[in-house]
Amino acid sequence: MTAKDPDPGRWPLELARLQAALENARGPERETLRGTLWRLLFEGLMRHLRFHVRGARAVERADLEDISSEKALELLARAESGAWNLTGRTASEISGYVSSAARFGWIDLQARRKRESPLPETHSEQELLASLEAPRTSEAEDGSMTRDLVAALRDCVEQLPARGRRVWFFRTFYAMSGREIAAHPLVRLNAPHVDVLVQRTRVALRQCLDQKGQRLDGSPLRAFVELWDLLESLAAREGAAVSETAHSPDGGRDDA
Amino acid sequence: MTREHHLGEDRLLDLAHRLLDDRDRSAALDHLRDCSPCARAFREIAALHERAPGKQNDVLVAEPVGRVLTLSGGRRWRPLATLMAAAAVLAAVFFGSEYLRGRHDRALEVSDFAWLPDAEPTVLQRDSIPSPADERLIEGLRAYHKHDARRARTLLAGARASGPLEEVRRIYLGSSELQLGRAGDALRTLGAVDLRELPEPWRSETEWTIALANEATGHRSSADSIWRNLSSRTGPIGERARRKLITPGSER
Repeated sequence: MTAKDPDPGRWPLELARLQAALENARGPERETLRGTLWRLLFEGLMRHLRFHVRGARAVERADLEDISSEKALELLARAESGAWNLTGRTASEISGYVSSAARFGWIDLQARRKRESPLPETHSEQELLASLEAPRTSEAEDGSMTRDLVAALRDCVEQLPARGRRVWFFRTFYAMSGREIAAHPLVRLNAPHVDVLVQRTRVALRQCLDQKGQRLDGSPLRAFVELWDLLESLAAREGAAVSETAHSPDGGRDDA
Repeated sequence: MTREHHLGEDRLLDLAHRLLDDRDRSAALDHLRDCSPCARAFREIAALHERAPGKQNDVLVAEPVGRVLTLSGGRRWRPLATLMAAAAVLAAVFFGSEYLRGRHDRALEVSDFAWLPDAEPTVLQRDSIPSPADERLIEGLRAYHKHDARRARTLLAGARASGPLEEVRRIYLGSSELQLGRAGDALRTLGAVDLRELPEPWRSETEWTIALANEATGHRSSADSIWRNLSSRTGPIGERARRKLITPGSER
């Protein structure tokens, strides 16, 4: 891996596809596409912002999300108006454009705050790899116990009702607030109800794990990948992706 | 793919968005199962992916613009007073930290935070088409009116205004920032406001906000100085300030 990944991924071309689809869309379909395009722009900007701000002092996630929100709105407007035409562009070109927008957003924030923070330098590949490999002492894992626990967790989670499973997963692994979970299109509950559902699901999981002779202390990172894959598979089977935004009026109303 | 070759963020973003074919997807997941740093990075990306729909709702203002803002001539604060005088009943309330946590994310720890009085934009005619920045200012004030500090901050930070409207934007933005626990940001935002030009009760309430922000950032003597000044005033603000001076920290 190099400091700037030579493979820009597929998401930039997905931006182009969405822009092209937006041109001919009308009504609710257009609103859905706008939302999807905005979200991918938002996440793409965050991806580049994380690179641009490495080494900067006191960067808060909320600041990066604010920059990305605002820039995503600007890019969406440009894409809709045709001022930014993605047709025929390569993935690298599109990714580079988004990267520039992210960097300018970061510079604007710094200028607004009238800080003296140095602009992030381009980091060497070695520095980036070192930062990725830095161990986190709080995540020491016993491999065999983790595998057993992961397998048990997977079984127990699979038995949960879909919405409770999703709500618990969002709270446990993403630390999403009740409000954020409630606003998710595949959940659509009131925030207090989210907290109740999380609690009920925890109890159900604990009981299920007890029956399997297991106990969940914290959230083993390894379980995240297994459970994410499980939720994706179940969602695909149930006809609604965990990672897709459903704008249908009854999105997520599959259980209590 | 081996552990020595980490997955790039672009690949992780593709995975979260289900853009990989089956073979690449399997390979990526196999790597994540064995590589903790990459799994951590993916968790961050996947978490953002699931939070994005909520942010989208905050930012994409779908309703048509029916309101415009205008400024009349005269004294600098006349239009602002008109703006704010169209508000609801002045209410200087105290919100306990438990109430705030139940309602919003990252509630302010200090229990004596006070929301600014409501300000609704006066609906007036204007020749020019309102810019997206005007819409953001309006929506930001609306969010603040509903005590949604997070949304208010996002919208007000992104809005652009000039003259008295910029003062309005700053005082509500600064209050939102303090409510979200960003006391340093609140001080920077409110530092550019000319308090002498603010009408009451916004002047006193903004001074209260600044005092709390000073207290939260460790500048207790500055906070005390403001509270001493406020304590000489009549009405609820004076009573609040006198209580702060008598028993500092007792309301936490």
